[in-house]
Amino acid sequence: MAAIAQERSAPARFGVRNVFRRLRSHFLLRCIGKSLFTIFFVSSLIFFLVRLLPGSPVEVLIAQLTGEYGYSYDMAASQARSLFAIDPNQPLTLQYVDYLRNLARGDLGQSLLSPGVPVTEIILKFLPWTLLSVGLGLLLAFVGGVFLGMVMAYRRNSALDHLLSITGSLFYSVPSYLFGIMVIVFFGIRMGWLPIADMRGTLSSGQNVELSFAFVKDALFHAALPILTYAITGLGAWMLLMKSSTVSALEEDFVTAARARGLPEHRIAILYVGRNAILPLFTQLTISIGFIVGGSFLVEPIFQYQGIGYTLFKGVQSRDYPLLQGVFLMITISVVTANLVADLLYSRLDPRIHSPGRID
Amino acid sequence: MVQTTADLAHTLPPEPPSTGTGSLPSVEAAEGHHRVGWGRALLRFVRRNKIGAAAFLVFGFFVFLAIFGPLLTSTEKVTDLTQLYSQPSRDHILGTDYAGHDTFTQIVRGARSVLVVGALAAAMSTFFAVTLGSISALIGGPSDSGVLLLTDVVLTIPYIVFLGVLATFVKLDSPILLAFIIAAVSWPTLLRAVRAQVLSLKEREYVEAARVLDLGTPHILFREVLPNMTSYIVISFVIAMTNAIYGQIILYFFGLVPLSGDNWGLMIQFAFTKGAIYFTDSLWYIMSPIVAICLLQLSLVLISRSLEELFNPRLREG
Amino acid sequence: MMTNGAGGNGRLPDDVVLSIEDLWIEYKTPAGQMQAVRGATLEVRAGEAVALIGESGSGKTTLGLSLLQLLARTARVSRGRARFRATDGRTIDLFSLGDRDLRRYRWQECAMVFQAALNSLNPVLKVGDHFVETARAHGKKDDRQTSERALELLRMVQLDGERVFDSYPHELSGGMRQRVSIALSLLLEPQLIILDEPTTALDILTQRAIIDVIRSLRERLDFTMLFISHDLSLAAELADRVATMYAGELVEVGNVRDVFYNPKHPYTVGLLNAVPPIAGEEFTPLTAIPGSPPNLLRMPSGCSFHPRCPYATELCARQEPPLFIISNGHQAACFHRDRVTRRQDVWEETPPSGRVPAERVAGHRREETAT
Repeated sequence: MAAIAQERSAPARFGVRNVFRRLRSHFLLRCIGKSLFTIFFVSSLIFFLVRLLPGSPVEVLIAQLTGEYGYSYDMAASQARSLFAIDPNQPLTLQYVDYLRNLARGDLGQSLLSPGVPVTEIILKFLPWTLLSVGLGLLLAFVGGVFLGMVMAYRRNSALDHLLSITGSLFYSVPSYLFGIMVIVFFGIRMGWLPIADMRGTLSSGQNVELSFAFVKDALFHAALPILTYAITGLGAWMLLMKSSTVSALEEDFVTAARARGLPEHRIAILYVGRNAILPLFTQLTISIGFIVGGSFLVEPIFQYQGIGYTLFKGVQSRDYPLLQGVFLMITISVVTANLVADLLYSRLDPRIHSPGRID
Repeated sequence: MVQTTADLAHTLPPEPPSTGTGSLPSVEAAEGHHRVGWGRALLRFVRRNKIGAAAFLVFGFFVFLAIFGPLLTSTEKVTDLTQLYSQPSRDHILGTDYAGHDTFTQIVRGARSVLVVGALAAAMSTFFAVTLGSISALIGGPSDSGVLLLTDVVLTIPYIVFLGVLATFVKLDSPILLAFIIAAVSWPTLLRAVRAQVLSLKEREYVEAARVLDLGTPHILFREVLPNMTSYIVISFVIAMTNAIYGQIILYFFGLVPLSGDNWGLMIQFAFTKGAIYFTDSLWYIMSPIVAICLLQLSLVLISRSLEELFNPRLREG
Repeated sequence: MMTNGAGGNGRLPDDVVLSIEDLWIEYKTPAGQMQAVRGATLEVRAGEAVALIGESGSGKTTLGLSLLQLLARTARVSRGRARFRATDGRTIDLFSLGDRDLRRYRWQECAMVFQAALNSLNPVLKVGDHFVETARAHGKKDDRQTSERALELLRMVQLDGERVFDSYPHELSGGMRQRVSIALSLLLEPQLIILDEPTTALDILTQRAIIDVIRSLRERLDFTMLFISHDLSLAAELADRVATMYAGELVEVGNVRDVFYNPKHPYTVGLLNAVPPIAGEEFTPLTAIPGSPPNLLRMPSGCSFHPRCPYATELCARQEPPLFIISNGHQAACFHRDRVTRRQDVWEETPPSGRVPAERVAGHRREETAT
């Protein structure tokens, strides 16, 4: 009888080219590299947008300061430039370097609307609320969608399946902001079921941010409607996606083989069907994160929920450029980070990502 | 906005139709074949596909409104404070708004800016995506990877946030600039789709033949690849238009665009800021622009599906 | 010798592990009920290796899957029964097992090695996890003991135990995965192992390796084997008894020597003649069986093989032949079994009947146990 020999593939040679190749093939390193590049790119984009576009915000700001606030031109000009951290005497490249250095230090300039308040401070104040509502909404939508999707697949073509499919498609077609408006108009105003006025904002007046049950309860009360909006509008997509993925997984040979081995059905559902069906959803997760965070830009103002989306919205309305820049950058960074986490999770769940080769 | 990625992913045909035969194709033969095929196919199509034909008519109606609307209606907005949020009547077919202005006139006049911005934005982004996407796919190599990286990076930025922020940075004094920023935000998804198509076409025999004959990239692009993608490009354009319309309506509705004039999005915005949602009478004023938008979008979507059937014989029934 | 297992008390004789009696399995298709297995009767005795040979569509895989109740939901056993003699001596009726008993029966009494082309292993679990999971599902919670046994089994199938145990399925080649499947099947020391096309889709060298592994395992361990294949040479290597299957029916059953050297059903002869001999001085031309397998929804009348058979007569088109006894343990379902030989010229000279097979509504084969 022949014993089959097993050899490892030859060890990789060194050299710059090979280092690059191995970097490119290493999944996580690639993700991190892309994320860093994205952040760098967006920061630079903002920098050049402000300075190079016709009708630059600086000019607009100067016009605003002279027109509405009655500044003299020189005062307005110097104010504007300091707010944008522009020193027009420096060549562009040096300005760029300065800008990047400031960014690295966390200096995003000062807000116009609230003079003297650093943008970073504003962001840190409002960002957590958005992270809370978006995070919980996404979690609910994802978990709910995965569960319902599996139910639909296991009970395919039953009445329940049809009902859920229709509901899911319905939820999927409604844009988040429209849903939010409808909730307010129908359930708040017309039906009066929800205390809309009380639910505005992130906290009731008088409630402080502290580690107490009352705080948590109050925060969730106020965040409930945005969370509901994100969860319902997101649920549809996840349901339908998970259903089709599970249907495919159920047809896989290893599921039959698992049954042949006498494994109980509930274990097969989780470890064999579920674990494999959920993998394609993670690629969709990165897209969804950007979507929902972007959605907060429209949903938060509807509910007067003071998170980062609301802040950006107000900033856009009032042309608070430094704030705009900072928040825009911050939103991008949040999305990029969340995507990185999703990619990390995916690489943990799917062992096929890592292997460079086979033992033959 | 929900429709952006989903629509592009699901509605665009999986493969452009091939008109090439085994021999080296010439553009004339391909085009000639196309022209005869189109005319006859069009007649057959109208007879078979009534929904699609109806959609074309509806869209045509909107185009008519866009072109002639502002000419046929008076520019003045007649403020009639005795007729706030009135019901449809002989004088006011769709009722009036918060200041007694005729709703119907506003709808008619609003068509133009919606369609112009939509079409312009779609044209710009489609053109950019097609050009850069196909060249990048054909050339391949590091430049292709670079373009792909750039596209992914821009894709990461949330669409509506990008749009809103750009709207403030650019001095929006004309609808053309509005169209431009919408295009500037929409091109990545289109580019990826176009690039994927061209990559698959690249493997076709006639492209290989052209490359072997060393005919050069511009030739390959303009005389082999693109002519076989015309249907795909047209459909992409229609879908880009629906996305552009959604985008501008959002911008107008949320007051992110400092433009005035007649636009359905503005009508909806006024409905909310003037508190129309609190009155029961104002239903006509609120619903008219919404229905108009939905009709327009629906007609565009149906048109894109019919075009798919028209151009892709495999989808045709019978 | 065919023992009549259908005794009054239903108990199987001590040396019979599996007894299939008049098994009919049908599939629900849009075009109607399709009979995939028609009246199969087969016995597998302890310690022997039975080969079930047939081409695609013969029903052999369906038969195999049914023994573990792994058939698709559109399939059902419409007639017959299968009895199994468990390790504790009890006789189990396979098709009336409840859920819990079924799960216990599966793998502990009877295990299956699936086709090499299939993904029988879960891509997100390591090889070792498969072993541990299976053991735990059958009440063996001592993971360390399971791992030791798994390593031992992996070594028995000529694999590097530790390395493979820690690998994911996609890191292994097809041949290695197949060997893992074989090792896995032995985990709970089942009585019967069913192998469905164990060497199909593997390259020749790997096929050789798998065959060697199976043979060595049979020498070392004590299990009964039923393997399903279209490959006759596999039967020649591994089988004690051979059963050929055509269009859902068992057409010939016998000792491997009897079937190979003295086949009595024309289909078996056809199969044998289609295998190219590698050794030998003479260049024997290949003969294919003329025609093609029948449409299982519209079967020919009488003997299902008669449209392709050089020995066919009118009788064959009218009546279905039962399994006639040729000798001790050797049966064939052919009216003209006395004339059947291995000679190939019969196939070249005598064209098949060539008549359009008459339609036949799914009928039942007449039972005849004597000539």
